[in-house]
Amino acid sequence: MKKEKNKKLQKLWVLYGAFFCIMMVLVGLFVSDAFNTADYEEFVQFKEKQESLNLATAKSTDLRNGSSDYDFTIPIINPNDSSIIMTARINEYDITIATEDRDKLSSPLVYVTVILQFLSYICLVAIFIFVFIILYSLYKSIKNGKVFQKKNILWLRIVGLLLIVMTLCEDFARYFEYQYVQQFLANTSVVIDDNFYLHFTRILLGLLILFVAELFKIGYDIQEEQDLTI
Amino acid sequence: MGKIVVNVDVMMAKRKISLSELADKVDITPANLSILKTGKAKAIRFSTLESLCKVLKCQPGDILEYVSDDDDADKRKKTK
Repeated sequence: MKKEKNKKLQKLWVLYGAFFCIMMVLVGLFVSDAFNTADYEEFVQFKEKQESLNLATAKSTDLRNGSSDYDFTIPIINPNDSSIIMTARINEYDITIATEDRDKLSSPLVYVTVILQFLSYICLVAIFIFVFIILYSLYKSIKNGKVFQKKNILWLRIVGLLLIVMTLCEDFARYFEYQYVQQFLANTSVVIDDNFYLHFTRILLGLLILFVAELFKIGYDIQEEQDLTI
Repeated sequence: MGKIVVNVDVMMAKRKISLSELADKVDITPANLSILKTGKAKAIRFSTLESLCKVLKCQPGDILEYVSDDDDADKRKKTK
């Protein structure tokens, strides 16, 4: 019995360690990204090179249909071997909109997008914190011999809901952002895919966590019945 | 819906036996016997019931009683 308990605790420690490592890597990537300007310099160099070679011949890009029309491709020339033909197709734009007249840029869509993005970040931070708490709480529960506890069920439910809310916020924020940009791109040669897309895998994961929480609830009821059977 | 009432305390008073003594003879903890006495228990094992009946020299019906909602309401009215 004690051996089994120790095995369970060891598994939890492995999970805890894995989660901690992932979080550290994510934080590290975020910090290094925030302070690293090399990417931008590389981009500027690339842009200058492209301009000097006059290679940016893309007239328009239809991302919605994913068309591979020649108009939509950028030729890439390898100076060492001209027999190799390479072409690139734009699949992501980093659009900046600037004007001196700020009224032109103000739109309720901007505020909605910013609020939704902010909410999704808060949800993400909360999820990380709650997963830490859940793993620690499970460790403590197994140690005490009572795995199914009301607080564990509550935290699992919160994490599941937060994951779903975060995904919805992020997807809606992206949708509104694209709608906003679309206004300015009307009648231009650039077409962007402004359809609403949902991250189904994340929603599914959230539902799965809620399902696990329900299983915990059933376990809690059974445990309580067992405890109150004399 | 009705409910099952545990009359262990009544039988204990009749047999003049204390909680700790009964717990000791039935071989359950006083805490569990207290749960049974206060009606918080959700189920009772046949083995426990058998031991209780043996020690208290009674039938299961003397320990367990079904009270319907109507009976409960009548009792409440009478006590008022």
